[in-house]
Amino acid sequence: MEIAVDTTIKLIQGLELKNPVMNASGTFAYGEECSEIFDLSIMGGIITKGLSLLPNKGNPPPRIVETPCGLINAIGLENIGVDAFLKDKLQFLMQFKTPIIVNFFGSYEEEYVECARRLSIEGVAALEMNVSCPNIKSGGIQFGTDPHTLYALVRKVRDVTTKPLIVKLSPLAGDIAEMAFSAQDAGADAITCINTIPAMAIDEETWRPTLGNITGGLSGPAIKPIALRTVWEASHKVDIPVIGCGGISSSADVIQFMLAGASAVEIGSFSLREPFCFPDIINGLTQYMGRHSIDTIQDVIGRLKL
Amino acid sequence: MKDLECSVIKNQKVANNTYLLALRCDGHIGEYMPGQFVMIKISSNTHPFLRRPFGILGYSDGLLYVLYKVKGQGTYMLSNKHPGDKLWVLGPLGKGFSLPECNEEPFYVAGGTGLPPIFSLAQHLKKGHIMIGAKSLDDLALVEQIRNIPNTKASFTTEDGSFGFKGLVTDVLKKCVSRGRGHVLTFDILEHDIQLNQMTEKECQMLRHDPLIIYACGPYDMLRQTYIIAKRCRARCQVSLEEHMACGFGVCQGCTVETRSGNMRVCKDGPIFDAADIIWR
Ligand SMILES: Cc1cc2nc3c(=O)[nH]c(=O)nc-3n(C[C@H](O)[C@H](O)[C@H](O)COP(=O)(O)OP(=O)(O)OC[C@H]3O[C@@H](n4cnc5c(N)ncnc54)[C@H](O)[C@@H]3O)c2cc1C
Ligand SMILES: Cc1cc2nc3c(=O)[nH]c(=O)nc-3n(C[C@H](O)[C@H](O)[C@H](O)COP(=O)(O)O)c2cc1C
Ligand code: FES
Repeated sequence: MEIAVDTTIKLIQGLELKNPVMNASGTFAYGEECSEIFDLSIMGGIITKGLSLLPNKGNPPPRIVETPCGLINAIGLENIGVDAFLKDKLQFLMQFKTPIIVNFFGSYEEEYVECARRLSIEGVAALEMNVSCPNIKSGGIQFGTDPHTLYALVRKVRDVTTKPLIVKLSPLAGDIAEMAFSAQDAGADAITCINTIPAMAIDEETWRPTLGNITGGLSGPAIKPIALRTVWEASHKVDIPVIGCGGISSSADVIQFMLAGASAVEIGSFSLREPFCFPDIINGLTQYMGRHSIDTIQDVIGRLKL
Repeated sequence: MKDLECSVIKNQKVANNTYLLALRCDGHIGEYMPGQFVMIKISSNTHPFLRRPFGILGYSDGLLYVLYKVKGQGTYMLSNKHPGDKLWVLGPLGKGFSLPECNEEPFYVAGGTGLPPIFSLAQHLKKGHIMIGAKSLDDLALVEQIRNIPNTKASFTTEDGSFGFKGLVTDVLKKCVSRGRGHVLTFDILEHDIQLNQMTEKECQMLRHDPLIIYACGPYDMLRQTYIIAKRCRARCQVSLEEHMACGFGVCQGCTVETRSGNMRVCKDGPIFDAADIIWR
């Protein structure tokens, strides 16, 4: 028997997700490839590859190295730029009946501001600010490790957009709860925890770094326990919703993140290995709810028993 | 693109560190073009985490054939699979070779693990000259099967001279592009693009009359030398590139190469590229 359960998440005023499962930025490109293999309308939301004001060529190869239970990437935020996205990709994404969340970043404050300004148009449901990428030379992670710098940056972006604004944090922040609080204080509507963790791999045969960029960002199941802890800490400090991200690979993982305090989740690396995982995990959630007699998934958020 | 559960039918050592894997798929992988590849998930748990890319050697009657060399952890684990074990295959992926135009005669150049797409293409076209290179006789796989491809001529090269011509496969290519015309090429194989550009139109025409298309798969240096030779004799040249991959279907930008028309993803825009489009390192 089909069990009727309510998987809707009212994430932010004006941003409702039909279920808490979204893709993470950078592992879904702009949706086209995945749309060929399953119906993207099932997604709780679609998050684009991180965009900068101008197109970005990214880092030299190799850009990917596998590590135990995960991978290190040094893509270097290769992207087509905000304008090309708006011209060539947004229309396509809008056909799916799910919110389109645009991830963006800058190398300096004005770039963030200008990106946010240009992206604040119809069809874009929300903005996710990446203040935590380890793979670019300037900016990026700096904004995500100092609460004052972060506050100033989020303030400036907040001033130019009325779109729901999500700030994606770095696990490198000394105190992630403090960073989340700064973002909230500056007007952010939600927090994403976490981006990749700065990491490195070396080839002992050649004595060379494995990645063209020398260092990169670690993701996948290897970082899940860290991500879970950051969600727990951040969600206790702020009133705005926290989106969990890092190593999620199953509906069980989704539930764990929600118990820790996440209102929604993003799945990245696992979908590189399992492109069909989204329908499976979303189905898994309703089955879990049926098994545990949970009517509305909102009731799971932050309900960890201590 | 499908994700099929497959069972191992055969996983047999056919040359030094090289295995022929036959898989029965639980569904139809669909039409594929020679040059396309698959991503194989070697384990149902997360070790190894990523799938591994392998060229399609052949696919018929629900059986998928892959030829692989043990290189690191993933291929080592693959070599320990037994008949009946499960694997998961994502594919077919990427773009295949573009086929010869009108009277173009195909030449095929394969080195090392570059054999699968070349084998599958030669078998599809059933014409032309196949040139295979390896370090030594022990490293050469499927020699009889290559020789048996109808309507084709096969030449083998080993670096140590243990089988066929001694030297590099590109040495043989160099000779072949001029054979029958009474012109033995004298240029040095390491010659650079700049010098090639200085060759006159007349010299090029003398080399060969039939238009040629050269298909190549193998180590990067071999591909580059092949391109240099192709350029010299005005042949079209298509190469299969390798790059580290995370997804294999175009979403992560992990496998980008620089081309004259900007960054391209080896997995989605390739792995087959016109050699003239590539910005060679
Ligand atoms: C399109 C394509 C087709 C290929 N076809 C074949 C084939 O038909 N037969 C064959 O033997 N090999 C083929 N290769 C190379 C094969 O994918 C690698 O040898 C294999 O991934 C090595 O995995 P490993 O775990 O044994 O090695 P490790 O070195 O332990 O691998 C570590 C990581 O690096 C990656 N990696 C290492 N070497 C390569 C490489 N040369 N290319 C891409 N990724 C690499 C692995 O995928 C893995 O993610 C192909 C590669 C590509 C890109
Ligand atoms: C290949 C790759 C590209 C990524 N690109 C971006 C990006 O453009 N912007 C961003 O905010 N995060 C990016 N990330 C980080 C992911 O969105 C995610 O935060 C991180 O990988 C942890 O989640 P996971 O373990 O589920 O992958 C990227 C991750 C990977 C693996
Ligand atoms: S491997 Fe992911 S885009 Fe090519």
